[in-house]
Amino acid sequence: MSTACECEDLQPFLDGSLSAEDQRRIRAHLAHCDVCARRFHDLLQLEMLARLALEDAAESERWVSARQARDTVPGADWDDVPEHWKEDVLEAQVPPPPEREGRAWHQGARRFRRRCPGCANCCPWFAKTESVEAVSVPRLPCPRSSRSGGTLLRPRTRR
Amino acid sequence: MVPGREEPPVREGSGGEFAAFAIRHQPVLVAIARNVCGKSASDCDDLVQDVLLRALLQWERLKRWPEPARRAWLVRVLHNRFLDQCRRQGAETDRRVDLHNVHMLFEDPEAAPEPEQWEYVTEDELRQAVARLNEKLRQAFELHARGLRHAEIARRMNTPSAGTVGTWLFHARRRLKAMLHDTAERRRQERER
Repeated sequence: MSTACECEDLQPFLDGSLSAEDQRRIRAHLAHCDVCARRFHDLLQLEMLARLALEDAAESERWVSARQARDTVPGADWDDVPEHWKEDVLEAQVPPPPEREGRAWHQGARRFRRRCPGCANCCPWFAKTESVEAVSVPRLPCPRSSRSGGTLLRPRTRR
Repeated sequence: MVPGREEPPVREGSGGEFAAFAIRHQPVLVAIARNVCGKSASDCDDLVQDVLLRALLQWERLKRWPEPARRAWLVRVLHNRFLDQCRRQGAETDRRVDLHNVHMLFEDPEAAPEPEQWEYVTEDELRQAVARLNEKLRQAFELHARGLRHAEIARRMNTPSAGTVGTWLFHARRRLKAMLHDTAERRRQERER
């Protein structure tokens, strides 16, 4: 253990503003460095106190749900979180942006979920106007599907 | 809420008290856990669930404590469980709680050897300390506490760089800690008299 350790990334880590690689590095460092773990503990205490004392629960919820939607929506690459994001955005089906309407939206989803064939467990990204059918399949390569099989959503074939 | 279905009322008594406590703290725990656990939603959920479960099991003791001491205990548990998670990620052994080691939840390794500063600081005192910060630091810190990221704060405050916001937050935290340290020390001495 180094007593002189002055890890400068603890605050950005707590704020969630580091890259995934840097986050892993800090987590590994915290596991073994008592000095930084103590500093991190102090930061956590202040963070918790500040959020309880100052947070506006409704606004906070709106930002978190907007961020979750941005993380979840396949192919979503917009950086701006809207100022007045609807609170129930995750409960309703997330609509695709206008330029991604239809099949392209679904293909984006498949690229997003690598190797996922588009099962009903994690791939509900069809446009509302698109006609889809549910097909039972014995086993899916999707990690979210059960071992006994699942339901595959696919565009309805034209007859 | 589902239309036509009423939400269950918060019960009176200790169950109701814990429910109120959990309802107040869970969103904040989730927000912090989401930041430190990265994109792993299951790690984040496990962490928050573990912390609240321990709080439930210790509730008979916790409910007699003042609010700042309870909050400090909760953060100690969060911190210790998070470090456990960090260590586990590099190790083969998995210390997940299951039916074979559930008794470990009743032990309290979170008991601090001596009361720490944060057990004496109330939310009102923090608000007063924040009000004493200069304009930029105060605004950045308040927006951060409401859940905004650095880039989002920078946009709100018309600042070109998210790095500047990080620096403001760094100074805000340092000053707040110094101010609250004096307050906590005074409170501790008052209680000891």
